[in-house]
Amino acid sequence: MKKFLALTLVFCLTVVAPLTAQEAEEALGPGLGGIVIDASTAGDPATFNPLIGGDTASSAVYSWLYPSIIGVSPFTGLEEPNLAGAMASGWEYDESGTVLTVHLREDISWNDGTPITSADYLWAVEATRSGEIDSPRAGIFETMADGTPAGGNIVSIEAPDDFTVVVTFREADCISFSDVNDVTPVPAHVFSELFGDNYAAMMDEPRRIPTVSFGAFKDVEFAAGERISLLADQSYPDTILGFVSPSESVTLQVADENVATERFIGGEFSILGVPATRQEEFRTDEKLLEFPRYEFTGNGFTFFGMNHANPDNPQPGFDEDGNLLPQEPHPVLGDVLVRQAISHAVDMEALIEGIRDGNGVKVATHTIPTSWVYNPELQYEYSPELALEKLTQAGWVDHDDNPDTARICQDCLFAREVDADYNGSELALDLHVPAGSEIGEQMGLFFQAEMNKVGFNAVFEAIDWGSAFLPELTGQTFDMNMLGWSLGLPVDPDISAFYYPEVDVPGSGFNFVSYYNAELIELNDQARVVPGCDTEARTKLYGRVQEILFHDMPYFFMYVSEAMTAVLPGTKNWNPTPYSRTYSIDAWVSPAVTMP
Amino acid sequence: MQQYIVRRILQSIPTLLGITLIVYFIMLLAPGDPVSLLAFDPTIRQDERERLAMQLGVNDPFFVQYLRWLIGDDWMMVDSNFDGELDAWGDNYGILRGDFGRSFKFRGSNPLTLISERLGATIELNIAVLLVGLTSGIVIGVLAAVMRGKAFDRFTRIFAVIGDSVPSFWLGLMAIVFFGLMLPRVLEGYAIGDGRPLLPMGGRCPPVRGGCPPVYMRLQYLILPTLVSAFGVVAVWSRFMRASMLETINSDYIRTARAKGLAKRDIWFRHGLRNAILPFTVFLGPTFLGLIGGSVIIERIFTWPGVGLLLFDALLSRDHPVIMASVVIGSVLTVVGYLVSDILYAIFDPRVRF
Repeated sequence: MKKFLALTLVFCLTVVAPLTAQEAEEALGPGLGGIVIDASTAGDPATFNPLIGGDTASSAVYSWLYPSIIGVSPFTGLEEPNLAGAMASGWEYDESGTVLTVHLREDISWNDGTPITSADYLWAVEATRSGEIDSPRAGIFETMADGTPAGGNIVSIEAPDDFTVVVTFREADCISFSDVNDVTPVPAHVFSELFGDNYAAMMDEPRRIPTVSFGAFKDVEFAAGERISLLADQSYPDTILGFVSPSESVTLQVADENVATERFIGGEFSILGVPATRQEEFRTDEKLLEFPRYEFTGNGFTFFGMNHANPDNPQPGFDEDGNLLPQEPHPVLGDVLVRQAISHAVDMEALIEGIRDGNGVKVATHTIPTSWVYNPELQYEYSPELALEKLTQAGWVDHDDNPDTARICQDCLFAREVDADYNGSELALDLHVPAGSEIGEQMGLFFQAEMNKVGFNAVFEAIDWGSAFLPELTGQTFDMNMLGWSLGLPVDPDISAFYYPEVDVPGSGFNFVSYYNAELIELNDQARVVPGCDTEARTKLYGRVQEILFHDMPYFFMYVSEAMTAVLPGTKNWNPTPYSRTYSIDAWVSPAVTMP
Repeated sequence: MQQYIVRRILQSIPTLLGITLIVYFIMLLAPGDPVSLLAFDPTIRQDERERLAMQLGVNDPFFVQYLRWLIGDDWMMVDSNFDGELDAWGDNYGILRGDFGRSFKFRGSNPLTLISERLGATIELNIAVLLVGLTSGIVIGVLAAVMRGKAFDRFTRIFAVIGDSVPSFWLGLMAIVFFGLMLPRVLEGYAIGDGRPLLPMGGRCPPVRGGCPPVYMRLQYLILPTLVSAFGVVAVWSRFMRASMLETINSDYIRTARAKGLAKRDIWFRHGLRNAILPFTVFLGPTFLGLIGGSVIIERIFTWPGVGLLLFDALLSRDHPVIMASVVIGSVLTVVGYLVSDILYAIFDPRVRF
């Protein structure tokens, strides 16, 4: 046995060790900055074509290869002119707010030398609008090319010259500005030669490797299920140092974030988005302290959606004639007092400290601390006494003077307005989280315990995402389900995608809590048509929007995660921002990774 | 023999059709729909989601969906621009004419292409597992039989129980932690190595451009997934081999060989082993197929870019065309695997005739 162990060790050290631990010569110059290796759990990209792509894995690749029409600042999360990798040098609206003129930079070219012009954007627009391709973004247009209604706000996009694009909207709408960016410009001279007017041909070869691009990296090499590699493109003009420092950028597939973390610690990756469960280790473990890290407030929030409508009878927000359809209230959560009682019953600070190792910032509305409309004064007050008071006020009473048993309905809202026989029913709720996240399950259990302390009979369960959680969420047959929203860019507090009756559609709509407040919708509508999209005026309106959301509680807004990114010790020129952990990648000097 | 093969092939046709019908039915019966999973994004408008559902054809009744998948829709009018009017002939030919449809998740890619670009990795891993599993299993089984009742035999019995019981996902994670992190750190404490992983913790090829090098240049990537996957194979096969060996060794012709005074080594290995190994030809096909099924877990843990990982993702995203393509290929391989096993048995054992 000793011989066997010795042989195994010798084998490992002789066969494997020579292949590992290659330290890089650190140097500054074009392509001398080493290979950057990142990990991805998003799976294979569906396509490298931005006109038919929509998944995270695909956009992670083609965002390196194509410009955006309007740049979003990695520092503010807002659109700004003259940003690296973007075409717009400026823009203005006409007096009606329905015509947007975008001026384009004249100093950028594709890497084959062809200038990037409005024709590139227009080709992409026509392809998207043709209806011939499977584009997830065709809905930004009012109609498709054949006149079929598409539901969007963009009436037309024209190019009076090579460096001007004019977008006409059906109505003035501040959030439609970002729709312009939903279409990614592509090299028209290449695409028209490949596909002509037969846009559908793009669907035949979704993983066609782009031959002409614009970005810090080019030349995709793809190994299914394994790796995507891009080479530095020294012709890219928007670099920080005047050249692209890394020679290559590689993304490797990994099974999950724990495996990715172990492999990063083992030196196999250059950069890691540290999972919440491992962040404390990176702050305290002596060995892990060597890894430079960047901590920032994430661009998203976690919440418990609280179904306002009866889950036994889900109804859409509008009837077939477009009239508002009154919703039968949820037997428990239909009463705002009960929802507010829950907000007082759960100690979010204890949850963040105890379960998330302090990783998180409490929120109480849909805006996050980095948002330009964030109001820090709106916070749920933890007070079990107040929770008990509100429950009693709502008609949920402690019938047996035993705080350990569930309260019962005694003239609660549902008994008053829907069914008098409901009197005597228990204050019971199902709490569901998607299975597979240890932290998520702990938080679900915490909510269950906290709510049961004030007289609920809350029953927690972690259920499968695809087969159980999502169907009941979109089907609106749940009580309280925990979920997180990533807010995307640009940062905007618009709430139309979540709380309008138009998107209260059982089976697919995102107002799955069936929330409706006429004042809220009015305010949001006003905020969307503020002349010039003036930030100050919009902030005032959204201030009131937040107060309404805080009071009505369509969600129990929980927290914003504190995100952490770490890189290998010795990485140079790493300058992450809250909205881009790889900002400045073209300047990085990255130490060599372990290549077993 | 030829008649037998033809008969078996003909019998397999209704079997395959039955499998596809049942699997398609179960797949559609499962909760969760592809559109919700593909378009769970509030920025995608409601009408876009409806359009996507029509494009994918997932709102059609079960039999329409199944028939379209089986025989195509070029014989029927479809709504090509999704305006509610039937305005053009369909353009799907159906699987019976070699059209596997288009992947939902991978934006129209041919499922056969997706599978074929990963099949090599799965076959490579499973051949390695079979080689390691069979050779080790046979050697351990024979030695256990030779040393019947002794410490080694008892040890292998315990090993077999453990090997057959330990879930591969747990063993895989333990292997990653041990070889990737714990052992290197322990060795570093003794000034051996620099604390970096001794073996790759995932992947199939070094992350360098120019394609995957030949397998002999990247054996280190095969070690962990092969050992973990082979663990159960060794356990089961060693017990089979032991039992078969003991049965053979108690047969009359072995007794005769002993009476003739043949050397023990000749009796065990020349006469005993060659006959004892015969029944294994029957297990070969099913074992290989079982490994392909088991690849789903191993490939997931070690990020081995094989068909298993593709199937896992397809199941999570309800990518019906990819799931069905995998099922069809798996079913055909199963039928062929059993057929080959039976034929091999007839070739190796002259007593068997069909």
